[in-house]
Amino acid sequence: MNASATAPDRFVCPFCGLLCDDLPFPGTSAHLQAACPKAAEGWSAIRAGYAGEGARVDGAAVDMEVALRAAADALARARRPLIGGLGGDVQMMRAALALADRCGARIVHAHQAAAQRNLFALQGRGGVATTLAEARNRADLVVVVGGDVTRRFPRILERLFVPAPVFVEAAARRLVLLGADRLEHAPAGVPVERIDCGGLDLFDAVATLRACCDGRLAERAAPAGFASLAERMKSSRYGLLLWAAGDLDFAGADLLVEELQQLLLGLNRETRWAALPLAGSAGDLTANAVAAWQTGFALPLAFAGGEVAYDPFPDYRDADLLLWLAVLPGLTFPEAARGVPTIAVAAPGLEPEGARIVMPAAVPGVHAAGHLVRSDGVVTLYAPRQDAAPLPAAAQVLTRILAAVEAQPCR
Amino acid sequence: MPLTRLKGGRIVDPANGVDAVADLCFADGRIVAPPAGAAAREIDCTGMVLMAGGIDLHTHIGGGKVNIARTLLPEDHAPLHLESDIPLRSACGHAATPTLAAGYRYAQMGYTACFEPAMLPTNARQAHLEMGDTPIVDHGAYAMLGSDDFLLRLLAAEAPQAKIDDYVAWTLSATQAMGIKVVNPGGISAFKFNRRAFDLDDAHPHYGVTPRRILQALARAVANLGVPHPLHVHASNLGAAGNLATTLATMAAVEGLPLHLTHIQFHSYGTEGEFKFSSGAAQIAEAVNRLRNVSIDIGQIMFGQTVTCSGDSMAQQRNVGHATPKKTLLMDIECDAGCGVVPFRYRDQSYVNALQWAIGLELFLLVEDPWRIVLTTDHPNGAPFTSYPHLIRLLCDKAFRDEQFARLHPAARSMSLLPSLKREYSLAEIAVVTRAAPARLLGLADRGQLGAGAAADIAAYRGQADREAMFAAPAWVFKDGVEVVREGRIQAAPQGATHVVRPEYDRAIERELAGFFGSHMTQAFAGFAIGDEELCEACNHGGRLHVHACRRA
Repeated sequence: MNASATAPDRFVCPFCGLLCDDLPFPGTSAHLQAACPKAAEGWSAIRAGYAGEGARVDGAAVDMEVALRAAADALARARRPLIGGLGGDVQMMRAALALADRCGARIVHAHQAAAQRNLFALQGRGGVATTLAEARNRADLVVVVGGDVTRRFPRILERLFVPAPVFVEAAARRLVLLGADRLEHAPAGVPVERIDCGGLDLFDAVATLRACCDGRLAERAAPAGFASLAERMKSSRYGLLLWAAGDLDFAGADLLVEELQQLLLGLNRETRWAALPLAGSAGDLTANAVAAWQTGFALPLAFAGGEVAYDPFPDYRDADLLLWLAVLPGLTFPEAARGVPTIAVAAPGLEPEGARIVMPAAVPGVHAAGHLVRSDGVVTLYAPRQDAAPLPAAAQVLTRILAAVEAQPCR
Repeated sequence: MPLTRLKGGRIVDPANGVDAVADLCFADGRIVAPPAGAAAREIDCTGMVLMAGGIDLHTHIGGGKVNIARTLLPEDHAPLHLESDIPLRSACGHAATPTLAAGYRYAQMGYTACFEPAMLPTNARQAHLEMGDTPIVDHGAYAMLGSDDFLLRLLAAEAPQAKIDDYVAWTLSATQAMGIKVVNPGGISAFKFNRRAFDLDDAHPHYGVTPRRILQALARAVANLGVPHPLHVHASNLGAAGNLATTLATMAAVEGLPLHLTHIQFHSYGTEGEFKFSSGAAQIAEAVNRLRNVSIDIGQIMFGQTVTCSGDSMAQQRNVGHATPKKTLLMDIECDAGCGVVPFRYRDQSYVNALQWAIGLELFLLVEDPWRIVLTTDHPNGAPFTSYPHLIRLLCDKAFRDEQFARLHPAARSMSLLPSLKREYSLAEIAVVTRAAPARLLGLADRGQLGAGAAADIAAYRGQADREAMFAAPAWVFKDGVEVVREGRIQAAPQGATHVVRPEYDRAIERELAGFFGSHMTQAFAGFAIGDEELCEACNHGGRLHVHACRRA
């Protein structure tokens, strides 16, 4: 036995990318709503619909074995299958990639567009990043860019600002909003200022701020407050840019992220700044991480003829079969996929409407143990099982489908 | 498994002093003394050279920074059409090799074990998950310490060595590691405080401790705990002209304790000549030859596109301007370490790159004891591991080496003593630097050798004068007795084992760590350690766990 032999019961909350492990398990506490509305929302999404029902084909309850065979048969017959959703853990993603490879499928996370805002910027020019612990212990100036990040990540500022920081005076920390008007969940005791963008859109505001930091812009050419913010950023010892790509829902948002990263690379010539791009909810970072380590590419991918290729803009309407994987809540079913025959491996409560075949599976961190990648992309947590519901892990379901597919050659 | 007899090959097994034509037999995954009579399976190995499976003790195959490197460079991944007689997973990749391609390609070259040298404790789960998705080869990792706040706090408080030993042992156990690595001791942390350079006797801007003190404490802990692999050191001042002095001082700093200096090519630079950049290989090799406690791997560079992914965020910040293509990712990580990913294109017409190439080879040829030198390219930092057969030919073939040397930037040629080095590696020496020495340096008693009882990890290379062709595609490869490659074609893709060490320690350290997690970290201490069941079942698909013995001092 090694150091971990006696891990006590812990709850790792799988309902957003922060993967908090200091919340009570909802099944044993009524305080979840007060602790985190996102966790409460996730819990009710998976709990509400759960009445112990099993697999279904065309609306009729069937043995799991029957549903598995029907799914394998449909996959083997599909000419352009697409595996989507991908809200799940590492094991689910491993199994999904193996199945996609075998069936020549495309594979894409439901929230790929948001993930790509950060991804394209990284692949364009790179950047500077940090993790939760560095941010909480060092950041003296935090600039929130774009929308109110606390709507998607209600506890982010609590996790950054409530614990006593180690390398900076708590009272010296400042929080600045660039783009957002207010914060729904602001931490007590931290002064929040809002910078008025003076009519500039967010991209122009960030480009202007970068020009101010680089000394490329006369003070009068920028909106009021920009020059002084630039000065404060340059004199900060460890600054933090915080955004949630999910909030940056406009064309060309990847160019905004690229501009933010260029701003950081510039600031790092003299002092220390880094980004904490918030993501990871509904398994997007988990899915992309596994895809990258197995194939070299982040999602979306296209498997065909023994090759795998990066396929940045797949169209659901090209698919003749959708295998929808949803064992974490929060996925938005794509409008373009309505009408595509759908098979679902989904946690009870998360089945998409109109799926022809539904196979229930466990929520990682609730009904089964699972590995999930946290928002900073560095820390992977092993979320232990909490609940004795007799649900198989999504990976097990997919592995059985794969075995059934292998018994009948794909066409 | 019934008896298999490999008949009539030349067995090159320097760990057992064997270099002779003989039969090699194995059964149930283990080498056995050749019995009289027929075997269930006999394979004619006439004209072949039989060696133990190759062992790469420093290759970045798994973990966060490698995955960032893969993601950063989609343009670098070409489809690989791997030769195989079984259905394989689709694979692609070049420099930052994905896990599937890495396992398949290592096996095709006759390698059967790979060690990830820079596993951040906070990222250990991901590293093990990635290694678990690396087929065929065994794997293990070194946990990275030396810029982590817990250790720096202990040193700043002048904690007793026994406590440091306990912390190091806990780290090995909690992260399921095979050894301890230190990268730019203290420097990654100093970079978080905006220091841009950090030499051996510089005081840390916050904790006051010096890299020298960090090195001594960790080298002492590794020795006290009886961890077989010496402290694995990426020294201060990587890549800087004149860092030769720091490297020599680093060797002296550990005062005779075992020390493994990794990718030493990147740490062997002088400041002579027109460009103030020169080879320090002669001085470094002289020191290595003299200091019996020191082992090295080279980190040879090869010309072409690659990507450097390092824990040394401080050094990588200096390299931002050299990125090709022009993109870089720097990261500070979780009171633990950091990383920097910078794509690089080494060019033979660049004075510095050409000299780096020559310095690596000079070191290979000047260090006399092959048991203290390991063949690496610091994959992918110097070059992808797939260049090993080419590198082997450079070592074995003076005429070929001279041809390649003639293509270099002329000023670099005038600054290298490489043409004067006549040495050519023998096959036995190649076997030492690619399997026997790494096995011994890691404490893998039953790998890297072909004696009775050893694991049946075997590569059979068809003898050829062109050593590059010979080592690129072995005729047969067996992993634990399973035929995994035949004439370059994959035959089976079994799950490799995870290798770890697990020295004992006083569990009182865990109380202090729990407090530290509360005051510094962002996850619960209770969930930090990776359990055996999690490691084997979840991370490694049910693969085996090999726990290697530690002999406490």
